Amino acid sequence: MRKITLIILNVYFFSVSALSQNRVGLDRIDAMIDRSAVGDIPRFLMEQTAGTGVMDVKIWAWWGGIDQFPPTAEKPPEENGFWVVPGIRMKGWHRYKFEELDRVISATKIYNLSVALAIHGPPKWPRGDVCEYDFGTYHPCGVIRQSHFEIFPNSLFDLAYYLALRYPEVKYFIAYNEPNLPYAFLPEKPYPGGSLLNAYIQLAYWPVSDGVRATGREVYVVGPEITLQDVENEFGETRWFEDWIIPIMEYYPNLFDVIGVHNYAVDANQTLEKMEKLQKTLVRFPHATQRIWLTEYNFGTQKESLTRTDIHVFSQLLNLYSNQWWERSYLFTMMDSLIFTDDANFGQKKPLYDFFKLLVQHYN
Amino acid sequence: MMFLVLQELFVEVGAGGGTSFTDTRIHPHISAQATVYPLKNFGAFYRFSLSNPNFLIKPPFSIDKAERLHVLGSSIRFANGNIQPWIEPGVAWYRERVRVSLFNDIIFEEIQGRTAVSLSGGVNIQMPWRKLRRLYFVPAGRIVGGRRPFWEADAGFAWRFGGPKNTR
Repeated sequence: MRKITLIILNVYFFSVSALSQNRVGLDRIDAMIDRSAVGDIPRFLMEQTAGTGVMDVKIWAWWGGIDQFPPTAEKPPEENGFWVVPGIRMKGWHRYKFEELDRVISATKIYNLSVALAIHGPPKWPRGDVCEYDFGTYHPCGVIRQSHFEIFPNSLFDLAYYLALRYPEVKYFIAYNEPNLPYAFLPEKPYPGGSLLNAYIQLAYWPVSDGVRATGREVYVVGPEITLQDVENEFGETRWFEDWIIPIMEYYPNLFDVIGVHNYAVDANQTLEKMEKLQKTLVRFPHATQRIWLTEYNFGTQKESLTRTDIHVFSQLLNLYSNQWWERSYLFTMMDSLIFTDDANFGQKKPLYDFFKLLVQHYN
Repeated sequence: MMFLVLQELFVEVGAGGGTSFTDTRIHPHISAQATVYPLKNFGAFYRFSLSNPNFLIKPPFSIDKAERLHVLGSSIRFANGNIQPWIEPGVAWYRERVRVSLFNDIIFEEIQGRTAVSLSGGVNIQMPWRKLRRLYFVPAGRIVGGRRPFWEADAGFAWRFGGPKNTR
């Protein structure tokens, strides 16, 4: 009888925890790429993350770091830190470097953090371009040559498949990053499918979605990861609402399990205004995906020093989470925002860290 | 002697809306201003405005914010009859106090601010009634700051001391 009661209680608590939605998330883009003298930095970073009480983290699976070399026809020798696997849509053998990401994922497991894995930042070889992916998000290095419109999605499919296979505890996969910005996604014209959105779906969404689902396990795909701003430059113009959100609702209403968007703003009001526009659109399209994540956000502008202070950011965080109607928001990023990154104070908590912790305690 | 004859002082109170350095939402403010014209169409002013923007914050947190703007500068008017358009370049001192409370206990309080340039423009419109010939309606607007300026628009009433008895 005791055993039965225990089983019932376990099932109950499991279902309650599975259904509960944590509203506060942290973007840990830094976890895979940062190196430092503090030793096991992923573990240190996740310890700091868990210290805030946050349960959900967004981790970057840096394509360019993992998949540095094109597949080889001959099976390469096994090396420490590399995983040699056969191509699925690609011919030959992949030599994936999973060392860093393995450490990050292990660290998230230690602290019981739920991971959304964002796959982006391609190396040069699947793009056919000489321009390195720009971490600074400024240079238009998202070029994908027409000659690589087959290689790019095929190599992305293989990577997504092996990521989902290697990390069975990860359920959410984020399909690419900011495809409405030229530093990240700049396929040659004419676009496959006729628009930037269709090009994104063909070149980035389907490979990720098909790849992670090919493992046969329960996975969810988050996208399109656009930043909520209209973009106008020498490569063209694309409006976040008219050219992305509306067509997604009309033509691809259930393509994404979760619609993920980014927004950087001076204050929470600007973010809430855009999210309200999104909310009204969801009402117009009740059969479309209704799950929304703000997968990257922060407040303040370099143009105004008063918007970069802890008091400003904290008051805006409270404003945002108080008025958040969507499922979850991931603060970008914990480093710099909550933890010092300068050499003298690296790793030390900023005053905002403890305030953020209080926010998580009461609003998550 | 000429200086004394032309000396005019306008004292104004008003209200309006606008943004601020840290709040892009349009929020209300109240203001008071004194402008003196020792010369016919050239003078100086001091202005003060105060705002307490609201935050829709869920308990147990609450936010209390007070924005204050002091502006000092010169006033140039283009006419001195019953309609007096003017511009006022000046230096602004912006100051805000933000107080965050948890269960009514203050957990974080900070005062921050900075100076910036300011440019206002408006018009003093004399009231049509004879008994209130010293009263002016003053719609005005201003921008404050450099790389990312904020704006204010307001309307007020000013009382003129000194100057001619009747400009109509």
